[in-house]
Order: sequence, then C-alpha cells, then structure tokens
Amino acid sequence: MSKFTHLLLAVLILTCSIAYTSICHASDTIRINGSGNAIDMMNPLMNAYSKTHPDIRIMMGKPLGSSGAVKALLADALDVAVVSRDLKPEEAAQGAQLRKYGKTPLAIVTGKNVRRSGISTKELEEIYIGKTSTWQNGEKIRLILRPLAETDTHILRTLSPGMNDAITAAHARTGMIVAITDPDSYSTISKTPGSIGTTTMVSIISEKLPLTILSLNGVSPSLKSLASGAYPLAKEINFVTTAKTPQATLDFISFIFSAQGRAIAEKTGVLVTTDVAKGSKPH
Amino acid sequence: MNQTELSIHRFTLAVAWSISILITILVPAAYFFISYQHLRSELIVQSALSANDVTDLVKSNSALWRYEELRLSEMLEQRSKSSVAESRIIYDTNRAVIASNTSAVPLAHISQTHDIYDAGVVIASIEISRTLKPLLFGTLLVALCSAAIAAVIFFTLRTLPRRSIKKAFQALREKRKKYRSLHETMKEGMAEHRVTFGDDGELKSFIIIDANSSCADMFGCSRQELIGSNSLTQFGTSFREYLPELLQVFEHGNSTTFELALPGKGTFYMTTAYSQTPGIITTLFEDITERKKSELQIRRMAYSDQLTTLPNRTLLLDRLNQAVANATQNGITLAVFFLDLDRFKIFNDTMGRATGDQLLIEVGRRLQRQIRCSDTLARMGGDEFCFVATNPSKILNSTYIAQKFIDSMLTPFWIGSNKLHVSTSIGIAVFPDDGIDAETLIKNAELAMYSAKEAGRDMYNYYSPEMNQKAHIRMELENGLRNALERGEFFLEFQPIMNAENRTVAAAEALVRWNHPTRGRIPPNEFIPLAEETGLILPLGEWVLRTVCSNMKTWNDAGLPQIRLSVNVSSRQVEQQNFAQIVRNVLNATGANAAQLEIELTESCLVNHTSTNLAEVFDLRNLGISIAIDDFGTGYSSLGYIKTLPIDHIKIDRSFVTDISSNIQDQAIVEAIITMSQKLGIQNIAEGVETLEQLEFLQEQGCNEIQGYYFHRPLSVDALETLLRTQAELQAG
Repeated sequence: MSKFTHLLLAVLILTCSIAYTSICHASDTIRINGSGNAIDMMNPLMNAYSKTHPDIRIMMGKPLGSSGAVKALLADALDVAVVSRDLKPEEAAQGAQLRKYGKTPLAIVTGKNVRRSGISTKELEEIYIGKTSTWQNGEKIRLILRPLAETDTHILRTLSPGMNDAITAAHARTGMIVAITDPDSYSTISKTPGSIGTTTMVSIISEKLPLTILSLNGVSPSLKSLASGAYPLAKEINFVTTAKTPQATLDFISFIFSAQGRAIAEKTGVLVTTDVAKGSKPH
Repeated sequence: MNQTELSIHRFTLAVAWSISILITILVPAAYFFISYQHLRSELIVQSALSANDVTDLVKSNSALWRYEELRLSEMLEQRSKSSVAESRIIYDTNRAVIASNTSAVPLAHISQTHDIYDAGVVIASIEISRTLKPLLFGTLLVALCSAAIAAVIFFTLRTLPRRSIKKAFQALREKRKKYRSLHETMKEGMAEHRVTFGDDGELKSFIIIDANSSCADMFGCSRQELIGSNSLTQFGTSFREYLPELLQVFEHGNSTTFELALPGKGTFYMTTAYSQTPGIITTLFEDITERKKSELQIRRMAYSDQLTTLPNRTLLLDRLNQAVANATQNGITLAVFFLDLDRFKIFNDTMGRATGDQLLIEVGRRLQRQIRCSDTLARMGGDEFCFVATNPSKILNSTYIAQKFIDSMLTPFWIGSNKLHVSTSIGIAVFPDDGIDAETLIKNAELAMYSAKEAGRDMYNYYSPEMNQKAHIRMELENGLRNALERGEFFLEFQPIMNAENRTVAAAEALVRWNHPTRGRIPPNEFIPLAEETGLILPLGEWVLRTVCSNMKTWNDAGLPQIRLSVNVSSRQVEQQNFAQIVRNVLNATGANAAQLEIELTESCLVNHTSTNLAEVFDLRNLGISIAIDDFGTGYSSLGYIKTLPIDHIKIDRSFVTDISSNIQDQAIVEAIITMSQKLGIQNIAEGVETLEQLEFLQEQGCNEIQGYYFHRPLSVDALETLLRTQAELQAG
C-alpha cells in the first residue's frame, strides 16, 4: 500500500469518527443553560430524569443568564434555555419559543452573622440609599447589588417607587459590590460579613445556602405567601426552545412539566403556575 | 517715515507675524499630538486589560463564554471615564459582534484593538473606540488661548517696538529741529570746517562748510560768504596761529579752547574746537569782548587809585619790585619819594571832604606833570603820594626831583572859588643804601617824610638809620600808651586861671600827665597826638572828665571855693556819637556841679559847627556847663562860628601873648580879640602869661582872666587844694 493510500484511509477514518460523534451528541445530549436560579432548580430534575433515561446526557455549564442562554439557544449552542423573564420581541422574532413554568420567591437575605429576621421596605430603601449603613450590632452593612440589567434588579425595583430610586442611587454610589450572576450573588452574600442581598428560594433550597432569609414587611418568602400574593417579590422560571430543539430535549421538558417534574420543582421552592397541558406547548 | 524707519517697521512686523503664527499653530498642534499619544497609550492599556479579562472568561467557559452576556457587559462597562463616549466591542474572528456596550462613538474617534486568545489561537478581538471630542475641544481651547497669547505677543513685538521706534525717530526729529533752531538762534557763533589733506600728508584745505547767523555777524559777513571760504583767512591771522592745536583736535578727536582776538575789530572770542565727525572740525565762538573789557576794568581798578586815577599802592609795589629786581641785576640806583601834604587834614576838615578830594586830584595831576612817563607816581592813600625814580644817576637828581615837587606846590590851587595854598613834605629812600626791597624802601621813605614834617614841613629829607630808631621809639610809646590807662600811669595837674582884676583863682584847666614806668614823665605834646591818632584819646578823655568831676565833688564837699574846672576835649571826642551823653553820665555818677564844669574845644572842633554832635555838646550848656574855645586865633580862620555858637570863653593862644610886649602885630591881634569878645559878650582868657608886662598890657585891654606861669605853673591836685584852701581862708579872713 502506498503512502498516499495510507493517508487517504486515515483521513476517511477520522472523518467517519467525527461524523459519528456528532450524531451521538445530537441524540443523547441535552444542552441546558440559563438563569442561575433556574439552573439550581434543574439539578434535582436532571437527576430524576437521568435515572429513567440513563442514555441521555444532560450538559449544564456555568449559568449564562437569561439573555445569554437565549442567545446561545438561537445560535444553536444550546438545546433549551431556562430563563427568568419573558422573551424579548427580537428573540421571539428569531424563533425563540417561551414555555412558562412557574416562579420562585426572591428573598432578601443576609449573611449568617447578621442577627435579623425581617426587614421593611423602608429599611431596605434606606440601606440602598446609604442612609442606614450599620446593623444594630454595629456591623457595617455591605450591600450586594446585581447588575442594572439583571432580572433581580428589575424585580426589586417593583417593590416601591422609593426602592426604585434607592436602587438607582445605590448603583450611582462608588465602591459598591456588584455580583454579576446569581451564583456570584448568593456566594458573595454568604461569604461577606454584614452582607445583604437577594437570591431565590430555589437557590437557597437546592444549594443549601448558609444565609439568613428575612421576612419582608413581616411576610416570609414561601410558596404559600407567594401563591397568596402576600409576598411581593418573585422570579419567573420559564423554558425557551426553538423549532430546532431536539426531541430528546422536548422529552425532558415534558418530564419537567409532568406531575413528577412539578413535584420535584415545588420541593426545590418553585411555585409551578402552569398545568400539564399548557406546559407541553410553547407560547 | 524714512527708509530706516520703514525697514525697522517691516522687520519687526515680519518677526511679530512669524512668532505669532508659530505660537498659534505649534502650541495647539503639540497639545493635540501629545494628548493623542496619551489617549492612544491609554486605549492600548485598556484594550489589553479588557482582553485579559475576556481571556479569563474564555478559559473558564470556553464553549459558551461568548454568551455570558452579563459578565461581558459588565467587563465592557468597566472603564475609567464614564463621561467620555467610548464603545467597546468584542468581535469574533468573523468580525461578528459578540458583545458591546451601548455608547455611541462619533465619527471623530480613536480605536484600538486587542486580540483575545484561547490556547494560543485568536478567537476574538476587543476593539475600544473613544471619541476625540474632548481632545478636539481641548485643542480648540488651547488654540484659542494660543491665538490670544499670539495676538498679545504680536501686539507687543510689533506695536511696542514700532511705537518706541516712532517715538525715538520723533524725538530725533525734534532734537534735530531743536538743534537746528538752537544752531540758528544761539548767541555763540558756530562754524563747521572740512579739513582735507593732500597725498603728501600736508594740509590741503580748511573750508567752512556751515556757519550760523551769529558766526556770520561776529565776523561781519553773510553766511553765504562764510560757507565755502577758507577758514584760515576768514577768521583772521590769529586763527591761523592755532592751526597746530586745531589739527591735533582733528587727529585725536579731543577738543581745545583758545582766545581768538581780532585786533582790527577789537573783539575777543573764546573759541572751542572739537571734532565729532571724521573730517569735520566744529568751532564755537563765544564773544567775550565785554568780559575782557570788564576784566581790564577790574584790573585797572585793582591797580589804580579811584580818585586820582594814579597807580595805587599795589601797582606801585609791583612796579617797585620790578624796578628793584632790575636795579639789582643792572647795578643801578633807585629813589623812592614819599610825599605827604602838609596840614591836609585841616583842608579836609574845614573845606569839606569833596574839596579835599578835588585838591588831591589836582595835586596828583600837578605832581604827574613833574615826572617822566616812564616813572611811577602812585597815591598811597589819604594825602600820601609815592614816586619811584629809576636810575637817578646822581644824588643830586633826587634832590632836584624833590625840590621840583616842592616848588610845584607853590602855585596856589583853585578848588571851586577857594584858593588853597598847599605844601608837601617829602621823604626820600635810595636803593640799595636805604633798603633792598620795595617794602623797606617805602617804609624808610615814609620815615624820612615824618622827619621832614617834624623839621618844619614843606621840605624834603633823606632817610637815615636814626629815623628808624625814632620810629621804633614811637612804636614803643604807642604800645605803652595802650596799657597806661589800665596801669594808672596817668594823673592830672591843674593850672589855675586867675581873675585879672582881683587876682584870685577863677578857674583851673585840667592837664593830663603820663608818668611812664621807665621813661618818666612823657610830655603831652608827645603822647596826646599819638593818643588822638590811635583813638586812645576817647577812653583817656573820659578818664580825665571823670577824674575832674570827682575832684570837683570832693573839693565842693570840702567847702573849698567853687571854681570852674575846664577839660580839654579833642575833635575825636566830639565826633564820638555819644559824647554829650558820656558827660551827662559822668556828672550823674560823680555828683559834680555842672555849672563848674567847662569844656574847652579847639577851633578845629568847630569847623563843622552845624553838625549834630557839636549841637549836642553845646546843648550841655543847658545843664550849666560852659564852653571855651582853646588856642583861639591859631586854627580856623573863619569867625562865623563866633556869632552862631553860644561860646562862654575865648582863650587867646599863647603865641599871640608871648611877644605881646614887643610885637605890635601881636598887640593888635590881642586887642582885636579882646575887643571882639567884649562886644560879643564873651569872656576872654589869655594863655601863656609869664611876665608882669604881659599881665599889665592884658589888664589894660580889659582881659578877663589870666593863665600862665606868672601866677601859677600847673599844680598837683594837693597843691591846688592847698591854694584854694588858702584863698578861702583869705577871703574869709
């Protein structure tokens, strides 16, 4: 056999190998990413689904955030995006399809060393403005902000007009700590003495975070208070797919929307707001 | 604006423009360039840092890093100058935008790109674009400031020097105008000369190239005539004499000054020559003719006697010194004549100073006619003249000259309507026998003159060494006289004046005596004139008056007969401003009886009998004091005063009494005096009565009182006191 024949054979083998790998990836792997809190909800669901579908490999990397995940989905870099907001018109225009799932309370949390159990909107406003700078024990209040474009910030703004202004004022202050992603946020809150910030009940439960959850105006964040409308702050958890979303992914989504999936989700702190029939179809 | 001014103006304008344009362009350009480089460097660093951040993100999530929108956005938002428009874009290798911030960057911007690597492969790049608006704005501001500064600099460089130059030229023009005006109107004459030399170095020409009006006037021609003419001929031969100095000025550029005399015109010019321009000499002529005349006049005044116009003492000394030097050198003789008019003082006193002065003028003229032109006749002062005769070959010549002088006085002088007979006494000193210098010769001639006076006046006398000794004695006497009063060397004697009828003491004349410590008693005729001459007569006269009054008081208090005590008063005392007051003071101080005091005046005192001083003396009569005229008939020839002045006694001079027994003339005079006094109601006293014949004659004529040795010599105070006491006792007995 000539050298050329050997080389041609090697290239052929390599090409076939790559093609095979690609086919297997498309059929067995589900690539999921999205909002940090939403991803936290996915871990028990993924574990439950993997038990029944061991051939399905679910990949979930560092959270890209809602926008990044939708972008990656549209770029075919993901199979499904778990987001905590509605779709933007341009995203929908590009073929993104939203499936509403539920919502989780957005809790006001502090580090464990902060001896507080609740906070009022007024107090929160003063903390964000900087009027109140120390806790009762004298500890400095270290406010952990989220980016202005982040969903948590948008949600918190809705608490009151004063809060809306206070957030703007807080971002205008120099030397503030800004946590980019959800994991960054609760990780920073848990590690920083005297800290206060926001995170979802999903993350707290699923990640077993060492944080103090504060009642807001006397109402503790829970699915019950959320469901009753007593607790005002909630973060949506929705799924985004495209027409290209593989069947395996759609199957997994169906599982999530199933009663089993919903039960798992509610255990992790999600108030599922959609029914089975609705959840199976994208909006 | 002249060519030089225009050139300077253009040059400064060009310099100002160049510097201003450079400042206007270079400063903002430099600012822009430096700032741009700084911005560029900043962007390089920023893009590198941002690329590093993204690279870290890539490493942590190589598959999906590009979708980490939040993180990427946060990274892109992190920048130092949020107020400045800046865009940050992450491109993939296809130049598709992965992430970007939202700031829009205008067209004018600067961009910097940095690659982002993953495992050494470029997977993306970050491009940072920043607006140039602030930089351009800053550059514009700098440009505006630079333009403003450039404008100021332009103004400073262009306008100020231009203004200064304009002022300087204006000042120069005014100065030139002023100079020209000054040149034309100045009193001094000014001329400029061009001096040229030939190839051989010899002076070729010395031509006047400019002259002002004053110069033309000074030399009596027009400016046109002066300009172009030869300086050496135009300004007279005297000017040519100073040619070497003028050429030196020309060569060395210094200045020289000389007096230019134009004998033909009798004018003098102080000429200053200087050279400030090569080839040109300027001369300034200052007319000093008047000054020269004044100097001459001053010199004349300094060396001549104002009254007689004869040479004065200074000039005489000068000429005598020259003559002595000449005589010493040539072995010839000199004779110095010292002339003094006899009794000139009387002329002066009686006829008045104006007549005296006129007499001196006439005497000077007459003496001058007696001498050669080459000899010097000078007025030494007062009525003294001095004459220097050079080379009188024989002693006879000097005698001849002296006699000639004496004879020249024989003819009376007519001063106005007065015919005056004048004589002179002459002293002669001969060089080298009587002195070898001018001062000594004059002094010795003067001594010889005094000797001639003593010998009887109207004669000449040669100097002898004895005269010198006499002068020395006189000097010693004078010195002694000055101290005699303080030392109490004076004392009084009284000569009784007897009543011609009853031969009792009617009065006594006080006579001062001087008992010299070494020479014994000095005769009054020796020290009285000396005292008058030195002025010591004033304190001495007061002492006499005071002593007489004291004695009078003492005798009155002692009860002695109250006789008149007469005191001689000299003309010097009468001339004293406060003599009358002194008499009053003495009377008050001593308590003497004024009615017993008599003041004896000589006729010379009465010469100016209208004087205020004399009137005050006669006013003393109001106190009771009587006035007597001493030595009557020997002095003043006018008898006018007799009828105008209230005189109490006339004392007939002894010269008329001495020969009264034998001399008919004296008898006639004495008779006339006595008769006159009787008719005028004035008491008379005869002096110098020594014999019975004299006494009898006087008694026959009706003389009132007699004074003389016949009755009494001058008595001491004690002797007079005894006499008076005896007389009192006799009268009482």
